[in-house]
Amino acid sequence: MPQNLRQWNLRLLTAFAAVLALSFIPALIAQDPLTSPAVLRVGQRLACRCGGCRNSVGTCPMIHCEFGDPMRQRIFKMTQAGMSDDEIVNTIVREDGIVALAAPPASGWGLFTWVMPGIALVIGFFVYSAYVRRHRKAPEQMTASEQAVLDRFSSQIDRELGEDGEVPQK
Amino acid sequence: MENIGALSVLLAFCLAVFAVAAAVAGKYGRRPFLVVSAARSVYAIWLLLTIASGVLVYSLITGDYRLAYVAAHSNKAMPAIYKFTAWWGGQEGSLLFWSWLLSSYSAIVVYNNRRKFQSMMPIVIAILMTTEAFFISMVTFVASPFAVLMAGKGIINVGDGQGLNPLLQWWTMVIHPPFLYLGFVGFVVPFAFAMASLITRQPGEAWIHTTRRWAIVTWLFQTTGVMLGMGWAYTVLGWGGYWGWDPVENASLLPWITATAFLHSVMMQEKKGMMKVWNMVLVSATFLLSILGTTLTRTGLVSSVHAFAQSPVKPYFTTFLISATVLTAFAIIVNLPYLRSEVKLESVVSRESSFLFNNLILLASCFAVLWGTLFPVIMEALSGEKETIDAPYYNRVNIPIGLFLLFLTGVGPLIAWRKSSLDSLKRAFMLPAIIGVAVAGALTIGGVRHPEALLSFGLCAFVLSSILGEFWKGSRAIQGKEHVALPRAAFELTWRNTRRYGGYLVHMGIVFMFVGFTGSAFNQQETRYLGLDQSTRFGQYDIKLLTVTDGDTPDYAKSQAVLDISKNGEEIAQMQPEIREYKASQQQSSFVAIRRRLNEDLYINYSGITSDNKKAIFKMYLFPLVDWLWAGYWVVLFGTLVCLVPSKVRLLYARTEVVGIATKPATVES
Repeated sequence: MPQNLRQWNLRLLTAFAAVLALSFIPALIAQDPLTSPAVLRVGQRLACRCGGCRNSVGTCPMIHCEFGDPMRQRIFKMTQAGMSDDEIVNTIVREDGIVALAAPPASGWGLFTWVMPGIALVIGFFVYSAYVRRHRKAPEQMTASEQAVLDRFSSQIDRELGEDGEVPQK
Repeated sequence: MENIGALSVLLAFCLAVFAVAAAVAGKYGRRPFLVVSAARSVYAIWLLLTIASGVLVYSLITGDYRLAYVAAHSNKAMPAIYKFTAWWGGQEGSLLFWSWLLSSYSAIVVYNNRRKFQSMMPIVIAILMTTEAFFISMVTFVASPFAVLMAGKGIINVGDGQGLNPLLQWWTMVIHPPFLYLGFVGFVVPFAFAMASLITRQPGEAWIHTTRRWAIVTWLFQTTGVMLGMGWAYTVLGWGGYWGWDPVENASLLPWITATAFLHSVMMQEKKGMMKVWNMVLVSATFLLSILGTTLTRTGLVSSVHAFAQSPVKPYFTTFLISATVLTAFAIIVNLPYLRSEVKLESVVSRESSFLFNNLILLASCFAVLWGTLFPVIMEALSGEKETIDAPYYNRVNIPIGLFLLFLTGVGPLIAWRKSSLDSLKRAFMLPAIIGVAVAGALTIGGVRHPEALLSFGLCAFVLSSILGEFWKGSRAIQGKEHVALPRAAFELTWRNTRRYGGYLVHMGIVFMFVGFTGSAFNQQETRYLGLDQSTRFGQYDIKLLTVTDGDTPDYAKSQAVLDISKNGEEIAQMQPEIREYKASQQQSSFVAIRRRLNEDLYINYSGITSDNKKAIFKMYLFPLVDWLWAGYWVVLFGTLVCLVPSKVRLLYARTEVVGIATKPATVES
């Protein structure tokens, strides 16, 4: 094999190894319990109860959050144990109570939280349309003489504008 | 000293009760001297509460730690300005501050109207003083700031106090609570005039003309208070959050929303004699929500980082709130015939209809926030189970509502009063809609893939172009007619109708704020560990740790990091985040370093040294477009001030249909 080609092969191999190593970096970073995508994904469904930020565990931006960091560690351990997102959330809710959820579930009493703004909006629309119907001015009924005047002016406009809408030359 | 303060509030309470009784008895018993006496009591109450507040402030400044309030909220090491702000830093002092502000407002109202509204003023005084009596009763009997520590147990001197929470020792916190209170308390006045007008069945819209500027000013105070709170949270809490949907934050937002709806719908009553019931409901809701906000903050009803600790005021506040709600509803229902609209709606496609719609959406947003705030309390009462409602709920519910409101902000100016034809709508909408779509399209091509952000930016462009279009058309017309330069024509246009064009400027500020909110979709954050002279790349910035130094002051010990910031190889700034440990409270507080720019803020929080003492820990954030939020506030402020300037031209609007006999046309600044 010519020297030149061997050098090229070596370079290519090095580049390939570098690319391979680089491609592992996100996976290595992802193993950090605090930044793992799986942890952040599950964390978004759970409330950060540090009392300061009112974000979810997944979105809490506080540095060394006294609640968020341990909770992320806890979620990480569960993901390592092969639990699915739903299983993790259900386990934490079972252990900590419904207060663990960042937003109420769309079932049981929690359903009220979600539907009430919508119901209020629908009621508002009904009130709005009822108000508009009730307070809308009815089209004015014209008397026979008013109608005759209007007809006379309409025909005059038609006559003066001509069929194609252009003003006739005088 | 404390006895003078306690006696002053007790006398003020007695006078407030007397003022209510004298005003009502004077009005209905036809005894004018009693009404005059009630009015003078208002001045006396202000004087007494000023004395009481002076005593408390003096005790705080001089460090009279025998007083429980002074010991709990100040200490020797605190700078004088924070000793002064401790007046409203705790439960008891803030109630005194509330009472003092209300007495000041009441005195101004009574003085300004001493020769006006003879039949209405006694009721105005009665309503103001009923509210005042309630708050003073709290200060007098339930949560006194003049209670002496260990009274009767032989202690006559206490060395030092606990000090104010370090997080509150920040300049925006000096003015944030007063502004918020000025806004909360201020809406008692329009409410009092509205109720008095209703109860005495005043002809016309006197209460609106009298309180319009008052409502605008208090709305501005509320806005400023809310924005200062946001600015404080952004700068001080250390993670760049400015709105956390905390119950107490929500409590400040709720009356702001109803006040905003009121400022819009009140124009309908002024110009058309419509929506009288609605305006009465809105002004009452704003007052009641202000009281609710105060209740939430002071009673520990909801768990909040801002709330004062559990206190004995809870049952009293709840009773006052329920009684005020029932009485207000009763007054409105009994007087419904008096509130009948004078004019019918001519078309669904009209400015009137769009105002109605805008109010509906604002109220939906208000309800969603109120529901989210109170639902955990209701839920706990019903099922005994605690529930959390955090940012995910509010964002999911309020972002669509907010975007729709933004859309309506752009639509409103394009629709004519009374009736708009489809052709005129098409003409008015075409250009702003094209610009909105073009901006969203350009951003998509530029790589933005966040659907809500694209929609928001598109709507911002739509609204901004519709507002600028209004200025452009009006200014061009004046320029053509009077042959002046365009800026001069724009100035003239605004001056001729300050309410309209000032309102457009306020809308422009709101658009800027939406740009700021939308930028949060692209926030970035990283934790980095840096040794001395080590660099790291974050976003477009190269950040190098130069030094870490320790320091000491009488109030706190500090550790400060100095960071060198470069962009594209060029040094652009030095940032110095620090940590302080307050000696009195042993509390730690981060002082973040922020490099503010309109495109993005670089925000660095220094959180300490690693356990092996080799590296400093930094949490770094990039907040794109966040400064548009603060810029938007200044535009809102400017626009509101423009609204308050009397117009050069006073326009006369004859009502199109008036029930009853009109002797002269209504005179309204458009």
